[in-house]
Amino acid sequence: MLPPCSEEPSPPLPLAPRDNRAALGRVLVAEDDPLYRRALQHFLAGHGYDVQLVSDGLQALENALSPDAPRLLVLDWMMPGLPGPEVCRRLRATPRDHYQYVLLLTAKHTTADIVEGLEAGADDYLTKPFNVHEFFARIHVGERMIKLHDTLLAAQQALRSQATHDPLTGIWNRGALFDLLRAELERAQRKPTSLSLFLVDLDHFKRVNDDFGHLAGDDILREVTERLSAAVRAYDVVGRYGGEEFIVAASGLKADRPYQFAERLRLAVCASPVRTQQAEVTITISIGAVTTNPGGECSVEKLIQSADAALYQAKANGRNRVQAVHI
Amino acid sequence: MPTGWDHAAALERLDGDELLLVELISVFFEEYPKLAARLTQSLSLKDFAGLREAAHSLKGSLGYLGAVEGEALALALEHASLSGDSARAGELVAQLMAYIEAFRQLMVSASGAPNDATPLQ
Repeated sequence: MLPPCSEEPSPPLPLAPRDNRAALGRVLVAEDDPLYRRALQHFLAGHGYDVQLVSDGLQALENALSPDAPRLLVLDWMMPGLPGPEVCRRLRATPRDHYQYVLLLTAKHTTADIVEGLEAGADDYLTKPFNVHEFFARIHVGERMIKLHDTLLAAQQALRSQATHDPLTGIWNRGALFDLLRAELERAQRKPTSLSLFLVDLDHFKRVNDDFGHLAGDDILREVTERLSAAVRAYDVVGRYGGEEFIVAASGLKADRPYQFAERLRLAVCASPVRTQQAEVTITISIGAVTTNPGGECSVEKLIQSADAALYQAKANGRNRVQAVHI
Repeated sequence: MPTGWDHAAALERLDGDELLLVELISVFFEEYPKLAARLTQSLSLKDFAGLREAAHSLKGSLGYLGAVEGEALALALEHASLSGDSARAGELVAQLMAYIEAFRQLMVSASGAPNDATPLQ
């Protein structure tokens, strides 16, 4: 990767939630009764939990909403500040990356109370005076729920990643590319700045596949991806557009720089042969580059069309070259 | 006078941890003077909300320690506070405080330690 410019754009696709491992093994206990505070601290610390102990509902809510907050919350019902159920309600009303399991502790025990507590968003309910075994049994239920949720989250992220990335090369797939390009174009128009789109096509790739086989072809595609990715800035877009076509998008390139940028890509690919299992092959690329006017009206489709025309020109002029235009 | 203290039940709730039970009893009596003051002051000011809170807290603690009769008295006091029954509340405060003193004596004699209870105002 080339060192990034001073300008740092916001990524158009949502980032995955931060790793939450630090928060596991931590419990927030909100309890104002000195006896129960001592008992809960004793039990939980004795079982190796890292205990955050507060005696006030407002403090409990503040702790619960902080980044890396504990995933397990043990809340008393009646306490100063906010009652337990209200802490619950406000917590559930706030979007959170990671689900927090709430065990409500209370002397209240009528059906109406239980309903209120659960409807407020508590996951479980334990009446005082409680038995320590039962307490931990319910804490363990909570941990299973958290684990289940984390598994679901990871699966979701994997699916999202699969849906947007090309399985062979690992870079953005065609669908994701369109979304990204749209976002980049909008951003460039807003700033305003220029957006350059580079349509990169491997020269004679069909011949390479015929001569060396498709496995070699795959190796080459992966290697070309590596070389292109290493030649761009941290926030430029690199995606797989087609079987042997890539799109690179970069903003803020003025005057002659799009051409130079494309030349750097071209040289990165052809400077040294690509080693495959079968043989060492020299790979060249042709690039059609198109750059917008800062603030000018454009669409992604128009950009690609123009880049395609420029690419055609590059191929016609002998391949392994750059054809750059401004629109 | 407390006829019994459900020591067994309290201990069972704590998974047999005698040391913890002793510690919790000690915490209770550390906190008690504050609660006792709140009971008497709320009563004289007819602050039923304050009275109910103190009763609720005592109910919880006494219940956890296995002091069943005290727990029942505190519950009754909660109800009296809710209904604003000043006379009944007054009776119950007296009964509850007497109960707790007796409970303290029971603890003291059970542990064999000298009586160092300070008289309450």
